[in-house]
Amino acid sequence: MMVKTDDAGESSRQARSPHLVMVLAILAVMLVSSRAAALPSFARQTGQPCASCHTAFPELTPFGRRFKLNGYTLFGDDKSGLPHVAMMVMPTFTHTGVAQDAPPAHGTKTNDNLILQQASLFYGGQIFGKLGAFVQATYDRATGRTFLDNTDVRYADTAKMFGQDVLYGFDFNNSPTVQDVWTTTPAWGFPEAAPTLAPQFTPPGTLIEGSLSGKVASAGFYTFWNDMAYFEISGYQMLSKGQERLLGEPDSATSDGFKSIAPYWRIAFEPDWGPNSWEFGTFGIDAHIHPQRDSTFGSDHYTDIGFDSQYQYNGEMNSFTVRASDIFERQHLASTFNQGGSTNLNNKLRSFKFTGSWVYDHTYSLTGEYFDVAGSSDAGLYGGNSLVNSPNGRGLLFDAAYLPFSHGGPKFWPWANARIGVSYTHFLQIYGGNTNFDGAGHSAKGNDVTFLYAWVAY
Amino acid sequence: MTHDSATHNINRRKLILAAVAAAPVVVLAALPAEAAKVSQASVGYVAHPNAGHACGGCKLYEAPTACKLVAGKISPAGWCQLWVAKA
Repeated sequence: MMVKTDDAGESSRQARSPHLVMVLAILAVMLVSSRAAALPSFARQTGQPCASCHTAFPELTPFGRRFKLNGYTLFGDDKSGLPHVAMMVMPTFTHTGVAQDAPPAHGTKTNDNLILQQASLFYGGQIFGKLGAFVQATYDRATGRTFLDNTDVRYADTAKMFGQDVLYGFDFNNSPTVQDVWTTTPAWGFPEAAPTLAPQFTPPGTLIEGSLSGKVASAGFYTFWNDMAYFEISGYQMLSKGQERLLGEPDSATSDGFKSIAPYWRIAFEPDWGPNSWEFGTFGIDAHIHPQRDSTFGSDHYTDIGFDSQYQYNGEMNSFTVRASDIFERQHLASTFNQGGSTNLNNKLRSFKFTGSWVYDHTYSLTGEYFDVAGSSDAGLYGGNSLVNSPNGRGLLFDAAYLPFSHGGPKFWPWANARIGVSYTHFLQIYGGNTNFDGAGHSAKGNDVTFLYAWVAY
Repeated sequence: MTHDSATHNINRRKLILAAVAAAPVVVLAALPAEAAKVSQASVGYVAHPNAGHACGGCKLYEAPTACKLVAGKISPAGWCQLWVAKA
């Protein structure tokens, strides 16, 4: 549910006028549609505490994954009569190893910023029948904009195939992997709570790791056969400038366009036994992009192929999760190269993550991650941040969190949820260097971030 | 044909295509739906009680052998991770 910065440049983009009215109108339509089952959140709809779907939210348990694959329509014992809406606020404090060169957002300081980082309004649950949705509208303090955040609308049903049950569905979303149920893929991957004011320097990411978030729309079909084998194919199209403006996306005048529909695929297997589940799979996207929607110079062709695996032990008191993700990206930058933006016509970029977490009683959570980005050196792409023209960066990330309401909130609002935590990001290398990696005196250590957050949903 | 009218036609075409594409989902969603359920394996269902808790005392239990959220035959003496006490 957290909004991550797409890249280092995202927060510096100029804010566009908010379009909350449009988003509210969409939510209002959904509310009217759902009057037959007017319930406000997943917890109310299922009659379950947060802990049934989350080890420590937002990471999903096996039941949470199936709730999502069933189109958010599973119905428990709800008698509240409340609509399927929820709110979330997230005050944060961000400290960096050394002060940033300039305040990261309007009205902030170069270091030690206490802000209301984010406020969100959600529609989450059954719309009617087998149609359900997770829709998030977010105000982001860093950019000052309100926009349509994570959105996933799906219709799901069951049938028989090869003598076994198969769950199948149609999915529509606005960010590749936001529809995924394993937290090994980028949209819901660690860190779930990330600062938007720091770090000043972020290693470059592959296309599928967030740069398309909110700028695309998809239609797809998925199956989950025999409660184990997941297959999905979706097609993504870039929103038009008008649609981007309507949904609060920033700087649509310089946004990119797709040459054609970009296919996305996902294959995953998840055997479950007792409290154990083990997933292994692959995912990816293939996109031809016209930078700034200009087709004069041809297109840039990105192919991302990811491999992922997750082992999860979901016991009564203890949960353990180990996850790994490795994304390989091939770039054929015909347009960027022809415009002088890159030195090479062809580049490679690889993003690897290895994460381990322990959760006690769904209440106390500890997570650690090693991340490693490596790729082709390119003066045109990375020379501005790197003395050696390299995208390479690696580091460690730790998060400790307290989730007081996983088994139920206060009596007056038992569906409330909260995650209060602290995280620390330590860069071992960034843009191919450690000290003075960019020739302007910046060091990897100075880019380190200490982040305190309170994530409250109600 | 002027540029404006061409744009209009394209927009109209897109609107019609979107409506045609969305129609099956709307129709399917409006049909009477059998409640969705999850597998017993995904919620750690066992055929015996756990710490004194059993399906017969759970608010999701539907006598004689069913559950609102879990598929298949459910024993009143069974238990799973979704167990919630009857109010």
